[in-house]
Amino acid sequence: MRPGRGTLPMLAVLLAAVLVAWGIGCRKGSSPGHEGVPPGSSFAAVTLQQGRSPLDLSLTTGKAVYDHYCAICHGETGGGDGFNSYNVKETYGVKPTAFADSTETASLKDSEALTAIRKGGLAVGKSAAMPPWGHTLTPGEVADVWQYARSLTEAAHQP
Amino acid sequence: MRSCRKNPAGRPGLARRRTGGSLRPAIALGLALVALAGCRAAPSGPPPPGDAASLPAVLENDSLGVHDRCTSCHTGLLDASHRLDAEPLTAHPGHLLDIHPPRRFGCTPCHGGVGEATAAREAHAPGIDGVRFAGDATEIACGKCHVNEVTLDGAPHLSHGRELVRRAQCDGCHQIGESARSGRPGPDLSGIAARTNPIWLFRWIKNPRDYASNARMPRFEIEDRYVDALVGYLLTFRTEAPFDTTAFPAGDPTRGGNLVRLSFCISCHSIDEKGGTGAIDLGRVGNKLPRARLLRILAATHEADPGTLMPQYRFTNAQVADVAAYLSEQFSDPSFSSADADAALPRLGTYWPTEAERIEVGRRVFKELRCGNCHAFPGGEQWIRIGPILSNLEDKKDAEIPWGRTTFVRTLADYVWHKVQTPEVYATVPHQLKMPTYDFTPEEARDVTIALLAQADAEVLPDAFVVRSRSDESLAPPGEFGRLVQRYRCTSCHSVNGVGRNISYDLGLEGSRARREWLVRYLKLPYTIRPILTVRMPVFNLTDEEARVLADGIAADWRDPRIDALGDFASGPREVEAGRRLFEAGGCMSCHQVGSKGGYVGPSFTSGATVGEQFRRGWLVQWLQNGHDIKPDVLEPRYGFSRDEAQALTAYLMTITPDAPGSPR
Repeated sequence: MRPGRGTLPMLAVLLAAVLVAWGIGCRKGSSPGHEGVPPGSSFAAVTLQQGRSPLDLSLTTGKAVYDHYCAICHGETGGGDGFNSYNVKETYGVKPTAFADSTETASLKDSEALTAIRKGGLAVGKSAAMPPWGHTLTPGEVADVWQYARSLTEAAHQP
Repeated sequence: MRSCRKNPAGRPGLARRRTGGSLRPAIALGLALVALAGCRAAPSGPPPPGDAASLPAVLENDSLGVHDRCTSCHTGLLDASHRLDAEPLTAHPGHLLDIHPPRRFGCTPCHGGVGEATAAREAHAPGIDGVRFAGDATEIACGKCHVNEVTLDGAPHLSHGRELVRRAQCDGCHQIGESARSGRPGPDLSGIAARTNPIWLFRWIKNPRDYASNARMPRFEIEDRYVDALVGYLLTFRTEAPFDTTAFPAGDPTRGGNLVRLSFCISCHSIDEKGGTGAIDLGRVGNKLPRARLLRILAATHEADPGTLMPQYRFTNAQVADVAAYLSEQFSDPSFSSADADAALPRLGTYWPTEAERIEVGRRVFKELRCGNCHAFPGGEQWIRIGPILSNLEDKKDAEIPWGRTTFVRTLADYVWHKVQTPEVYATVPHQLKMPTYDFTPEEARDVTIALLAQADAEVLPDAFVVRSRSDESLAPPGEFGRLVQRYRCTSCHSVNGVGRNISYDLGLEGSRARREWLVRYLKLPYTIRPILTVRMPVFNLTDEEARVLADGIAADWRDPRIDALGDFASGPREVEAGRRLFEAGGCMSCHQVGSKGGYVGPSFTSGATVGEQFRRGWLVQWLQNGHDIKPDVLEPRYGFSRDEAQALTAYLMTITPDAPGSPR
């Protein structure tokens, strides 16, 4: 149970608002803040991530999975340019998909990508260079990591 | 939904927690919103029975005191297709429910709240500090069962916090949970006057991080004159066992530099912040250590410092002199000792009217700050923890917290968070505090706070739920093998069955993994196994006899016969061919090199040694089927191979040579 996950952003904003207001109020009336610790900053402020909607939580999980397993070939920001991408190209003749490149991702159907993640590139008629992850990741993690890979396209095309 | 069958009396530790006064209005408002949203979105009935992803409306486990109705509303917890739905329908994020099935663990042990409640508002009553439900602070709950593991999957903040607590040696002055520190983490101060110089001592004590960014010793907020007094007192520790330096020639810095690179000192030490994190930065080592001390550390490492993690290298006297010359020449920073760096330096030794008074004041300061809790020194003293016990932090009452004149949010977590960042923050009189400063960033302080609150949970759990890692007891096997493991400090980088440090991989199954002939060869001349790694095994210049003893010891002691037995299977051309097809379909060469092709992520299959030369068959079968059980964070996917498939692939891998890689599609 994660009570308040959906309403957490609201709760967080509310908390933050109350805390800030409270901090300012006290500062006016009493001693100044101490050096090195800005007044009003709190444990909650460094602990609660702002706006943890289910989508954010999904992206957080997706990013953790992506950074650990995928970035080494597909690149940290999805450029298809990870540390190992050159070797993949040399060995298999194809380079890892660049999620940051909208021309590459435009033709990628969600169902095809999810199958490729779960069962490997061969399962969708592509290269065996992409191994299967369906026994490593849970169905939720597969969905989350694809959500995150998708978000890299948007991130790359933001002004 | 109206009535509330709350029963806090039978639920120690869950319902009794309160939050600081200042948070209450916010939480009350927030909870009202949660309650509203919860009711609005509540489904009309329980999900259909029999669905694998569905949970009963009430989760019960008497041994944990769990009677959680949370799943009455939170119905999609196990269903990945609901992961983007709004509360309360959304799936649980991440993979933690896979290893903590809700039917066994319930919800409230991790998230707090009141599981029996039938109204959302009652159910979502705040935890210990009003934030446990949310985000990172949920990890505080992990510590209830995982009482002492430092690296905990799924709890990055708690893991980081525990690592920081261990590194900072908080348990030198505080009792923390089950921590039982053995020995003192700092060096023995006997003879320190002969090992360094007054300028270095002054600057080090004033702020160790001015000397080395990764220094472990904390900074004590004391005035310069007291630092000066401490230097005066430390300079009376003159007695150092004599060390004859006449056997060492002048030394050639160029040759020394080559040796430093070959020996991979930077696998552990950083130099100007580049390199390993396991040992202190060497960027200014020339400012600290005189030549005689450098020679001694390099030539007689464990005699110079019995507690060190550093291996004893097999350098000749000439090589020792070369390395010492290189370190002295290359890593001395004149500006470190200048008045520009610290305006107090010219006054060093002049703060006190007489040397006797300086020494006497220094002795008192040394005693007051309990330097002896971390350092042995001549005529040493008993180790007494002078800080408050931190084992039951949660029991601290609001009124007991000495907030001083601060205007912080008043929760226990906030108190700890500010305290570990800026210990002086609650002090009413400056420079009187004994607790030193660790210069934690706000995020580091958050993780330390999570770790301290996590270990502080006083709940008594059934044994079946408590997970405990083994203690760091001495690992050395007996006999000559053990002596060599000690001499080369194998466990400074490797763990053995989970005990030891984790700079490199666990050696507990090495005897089942590697062939003895390969071990002898590799120990004598280590090479790069995984190109992606930046840390390297040093070249120790082992003698043939030492390499043989180590390989025999590893083969005899660090193995699992059950894994060895997996290698007993028949294989012919048919299996090899089946294995080759699996190899090609699996994309193995995306990560592994064969000949000149392949990736840089996993070990090369042919450079240095072929698979057949390096590995034992049983281990490969085990790895291919259950590699993630051996090394949970390994990048290699779990393929779900059957035993037959794992055997076939093993049979094929054993045949690979640089020229016969199979043909990747």
